[in-house]
Formats: sequence, C-alpha cells, structure tokens
Amino acid sequence: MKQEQIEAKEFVYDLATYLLTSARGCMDEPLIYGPLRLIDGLSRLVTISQYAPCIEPDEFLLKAKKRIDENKYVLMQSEEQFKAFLDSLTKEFISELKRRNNLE
Amino acid sequence: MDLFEALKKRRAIREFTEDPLSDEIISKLVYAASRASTGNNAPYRRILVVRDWKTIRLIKQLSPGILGLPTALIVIFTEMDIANELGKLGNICSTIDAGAAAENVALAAASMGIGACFTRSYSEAGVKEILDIPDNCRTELMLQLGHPKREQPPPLRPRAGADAVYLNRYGLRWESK
Repeated sequence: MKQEQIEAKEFVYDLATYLLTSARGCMDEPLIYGPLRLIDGLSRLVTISQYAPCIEPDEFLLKAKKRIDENKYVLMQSEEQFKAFLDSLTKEFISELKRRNNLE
Repeated sequence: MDLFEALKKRRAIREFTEDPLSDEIISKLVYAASRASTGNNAPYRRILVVRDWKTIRLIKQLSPGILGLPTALIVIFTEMDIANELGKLGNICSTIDAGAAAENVALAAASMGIGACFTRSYSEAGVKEILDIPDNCRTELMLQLGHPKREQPPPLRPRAGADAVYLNRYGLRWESK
C-alpha cells in the first residue's frame, strides 16, 4: 500500500472534519482534551503552506509545529507542564509578532 | 517473546511507517483479541479489521485521537441486543470485555514489535456509518496498528498515584518484593 499525498482540497477537508469531530468529542471527553485539540489543530494548520502555493512556508511556524508535536503528549502526564508549555509557546509567538511588527 | 517481556515493552505507539502489516501478523492479532473471555460467555463482542487504505484515511478524518496514520485498525464493538440480555451487567461487562480483547491485541503486537494504540476519540456516528456497523451496536474502542516509526515521542511516565496497590485492606500498601 502506498499512501497517497494529500492535495490542497483534501487538506481543508481534513482540517474541517478534525475540527468538527473534535467539537463533538469535547462534549463527552475530559475537559483538558479541548486544549489538546486546539493545539493539535494549530499544528495541522501550519502545514497549509505545503498545499497552498500562495502561502510561503514560515520558519517560525514550522518550528512551533515541531515543538507542539514534541510536547502535546505532555498533557497526559502533567497538566501543569502542559500549561507551562502553552505559556512558553505563547511568549515565543509574542516575540515573533513583535519582531514582525518592528516592536522589538 | 515472553509475556512479561511484552508487558514491559508495551506502550502506546501513534506514529507508523507506510509498510502494511502482513496477513500473518493480522491473523495473530485477531486471534489474540478472540482469546479474551466474555461475561457469561455471551457472544456479544464483534471485531472488525480495517486494512483498506482509503477507509483508514476516512476514519482518521473523523478521529481526532488518531494522530499518525496507522496501516490497520481493529474496531471492537458490542451487539447491544445480546449484551442487554444480561441486564445492566451485560452493559458493563461488554465494555470490560472489549478492553480485555484490546489489551490482548496490544500485548500480542508488542511481542511482535508491532505498534498499537487504543483510541476512543473518534466520531462514533461517523465510524459506524463508514463501516456499516448496525445501529444496535455500540463501538467500544479502536486499535491503531502498524509498524512503528523509529522516531517516537518519549514514553509517558505514570502519574503519581496511578495503580496504587493495597494488600488486604484499602490504604495498606502492597510492597512489591
């Protein structure tokens, strides 16, 4: 079996169904799965540059995706660590936003 | 592989290579599942193996809990008409028995170096629709299966208080020797 590369349209459907089924799942699942689904959704969203030629790959976002993928499972071990990870990632985003807006 | 070695190696694997699992491996996993008992020996447990790539992909689209891309799925579900014949106990036992079958699969997988992960985060309505599972059935859980990628997230440490073991009375800790 050779797994096919997904195309741009499928990417949108993947993300749409992920968000839809996550919304439904969050009604029955532990509350903390909500943050997990959101951060995993962010990780998925970042790959959009692979499918939409008009969106250039962004080095910062790709690094953020890597960090998310490495850290998202922390949640199952410690909510505090997961919270700290989200806070540290937020700070990195703020630094990047400042840099992009010449506010450093 | 010795059972205790498999118990030691067993962990959730969520990232898989594209290599399909052989017929022999799938047969062994199904055998492992079917070796688990059921309450009152009732025939309510059903096991559905999914190996078709497009179907797996479709199910992944409806399963936030599937983070990688497995090459096979085993869906364990219960015929509720049969389970309900055992009253409330049947309702509970059928879920327990599905878990027992799933754990057998996970251990058999570990013993063969195959990756496995339990999944409950999926759209039940969606999965039933895709797999033509009748309305009178309840899906219990799904196992993601495949050859593990070399790179895996580090295994999780058990949380404090997990598997507290007591001896004779609640609160009297079992001291492992």
